Amino acid sequence: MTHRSRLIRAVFLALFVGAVFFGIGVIYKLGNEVRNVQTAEQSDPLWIGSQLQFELLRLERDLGEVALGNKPAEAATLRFDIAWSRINILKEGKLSRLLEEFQIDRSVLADLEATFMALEPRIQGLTASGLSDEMRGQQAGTILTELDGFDQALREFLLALAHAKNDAMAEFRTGMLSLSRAVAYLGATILTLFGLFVFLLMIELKVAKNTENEMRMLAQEATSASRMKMNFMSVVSHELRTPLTSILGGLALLKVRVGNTVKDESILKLLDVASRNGDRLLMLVNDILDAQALSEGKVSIERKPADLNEIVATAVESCHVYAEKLGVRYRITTTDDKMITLTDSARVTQVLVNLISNAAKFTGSGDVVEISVTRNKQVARIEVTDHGIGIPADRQDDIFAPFHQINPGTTAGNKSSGLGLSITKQLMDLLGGEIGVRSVEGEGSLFWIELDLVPVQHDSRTASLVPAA
Amino acid sequence: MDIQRTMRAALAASLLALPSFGFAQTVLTVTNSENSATYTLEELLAMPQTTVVTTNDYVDELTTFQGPSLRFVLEKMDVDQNANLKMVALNDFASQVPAEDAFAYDVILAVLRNGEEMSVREKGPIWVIYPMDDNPELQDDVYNGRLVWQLKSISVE
Repeated sequence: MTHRSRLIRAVFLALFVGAVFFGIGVIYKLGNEVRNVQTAEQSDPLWIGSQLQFELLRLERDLGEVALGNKPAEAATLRFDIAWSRINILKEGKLSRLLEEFQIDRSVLADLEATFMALEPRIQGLTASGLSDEMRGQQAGTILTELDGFDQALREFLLALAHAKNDAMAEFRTGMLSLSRAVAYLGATILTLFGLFVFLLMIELKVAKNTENEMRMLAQEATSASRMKMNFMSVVSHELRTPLTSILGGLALLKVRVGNTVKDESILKLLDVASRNGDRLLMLVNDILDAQALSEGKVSIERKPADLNEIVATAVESCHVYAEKLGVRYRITTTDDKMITLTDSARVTQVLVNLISNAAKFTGSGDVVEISVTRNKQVARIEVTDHGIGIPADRQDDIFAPFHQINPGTTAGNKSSGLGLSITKQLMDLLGGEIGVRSVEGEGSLFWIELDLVPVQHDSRTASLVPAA
Repeated sequence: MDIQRTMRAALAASLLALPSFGFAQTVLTVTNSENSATYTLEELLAMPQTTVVTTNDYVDELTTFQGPSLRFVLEKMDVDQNANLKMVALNDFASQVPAEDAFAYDVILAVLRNGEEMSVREKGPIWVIYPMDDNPELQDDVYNGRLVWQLKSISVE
C-alpha cells in the first residue's frame, strides 16, 4: 500500500465517521422535533382553554335562566363549580407549563378566579331557602353583570393561545424543513461516499489486474527463457555430437594405424587420453539430449515382452570395459526362471547401465559390485550394490533431481553431467516402475528398481539371494 | 337512540334537580342495555379499593389516586370485554372508552386524590385514572382523552 492510498483511506474513514455522526445528529433532532410537536398537539391547550370560555357561557346562560325562574338555583351552582374547575385545570400540570412556555398573559385567569371567589357566597345564597323568586332573579342578575367583560378577555386569551400554538407549529414545520434538507445532505454525502468507494475499488481492481498481468508476463518470460535455454542446449548438443563422433572415429583409426609402427609409448598414451575424454564428452552430450527429450515428453516407450535376466546380462556386459578400466568386477545373481515383463528393454537397459556404471564409478578399485535379480510375487526387483562412499541420509531425497551430484569434488576424476540419476528416475516413471536408494555414508549404496511381471503359471524361486550391503 | 337520549336527558335533569353535592347522593350511574345501577360516594368507597400512583398531563406531581377499579364496577354489571363505554362528565362531555382498557390495566374510578375527596372544582367527585407511569404505552394522546374527570355516568354500548 502506497503512502497516497493510505492517505485516501484515512480521508475516507474520516468522511464515513463524519457521515455517521451527521446521521445520528439528524435522527436525534428528528426525535426532538417530534417530541415538541407531540407536546403542542397532546392535550390540545387550545381546546381545553376554549372549554373555560364555553363553561363560562353556560354559567351565564344558566344564571339567566335562574333569573327568569326557568331553572332551579342548583343548576347555577353546578355550572359555577364546573367553570371553576376549568380555571383550575389551566393552572395545573402540563397546561400551566405550556402557558408559561408560550408566555401568555394569564392575568385573566387570576382575575376570573378572584371574581369567582367574591361571587361564591352570593352563588351559594341563590339556593338559600326562603328567598323569593324575585329576589333570586335580582341576585342572579347582579352576578351576571359581575361576569361581564370576561367573555371578551377570555377570547383574547384564547387568541393569544392560538397564536402561540400556531407559532410552535410553524417552528416545528421550519425545523422539519431544515431537517429534510439535512436528510438530503446526508443522502448526498452517503451517495458521494459510495461513489468514491466504488471508484477506489475500481482503481484497486485495476492495480491488481496490472500486477497480475505483470506476473503472468514474467512467468511467460521465465518459461520461454527456459525453453530457449533447452533449445539452445539441444542444438549445441546436436552440433557437438556430429564432429565428436568424427573425432572419436578418427582417433580410433589413428590408434590402430600407428599402434604397430610407433614405438613411442607416450604417443599411444596421449591418444588414449584423447579418446577417453572424447568418450566422456560424448556421454555428457548424450545425457543432455536424453534429459531434454524427457523434459519435453519426446521419449516414447515401446513395450514388448522381455526377460529381465537377459536385460541385466546385456547391461553388465556393456559396462564391462568401463569397469575393467576402474578395476571393478561385477557379480550377478539371477533367477532360474524367466522374468518376463512387458516393457521397453532398451530403456530398462539404459537405466541399468546408468546404475551399474555409477556403482563402478563410486566404489573402490578392486571391489565387487553386486547385481541381483529377485522376485516378490508379481514384482521383479533388481538391486545394484556397491561399497563406495555412500550418500548422506539427508541428501538421499535430492539425488534424483537434475544436475545433482554428491560431493562433486571427490569424483573429479570421473566427472559426469549430474543428469544420470534424474534421467533414470524419469525413465522409470515413464515405464511405470519404481526406483529407490538405501545408503549408509562411507559404507556404500544400494540402488533398486522394481517392475511388474507378466503373470506366469509357476513362480518357483531357485536363485540364491545375495544380501545387500 | 331515542330512548338513550331521553334517558340521558332525564338523568341530567335529575342530577341538576338535586341540591348541592354531598354525601348520600348519587354520583355515578352505570347503565347497560338491560338495567342501570347508581352509586353514592360512600358506596364507591366501600368497594374494594385500588391505588394508582401516577402522573398525568393534568397534575403537577406524582399523585396517589384511590378508588374502585373500573373492572370491578363493570364486572358487577356483567359487561363484556369487547363492549364500548360511553363516559359522560358533569358538563356532558362524553368520551368513548373500550371496556378492554379496564381489563388490560388497573383503570380506576378515583374518588380520593392523595387521600382526600375531590370537589367538582378539583375534577371530582370521580376521575377516571389510567396507571400511566407504570405503563408507558398509556402515555399517548388517545389515553389522555379517556381521563374523564367529573364523571357522572357510564353507559355500555
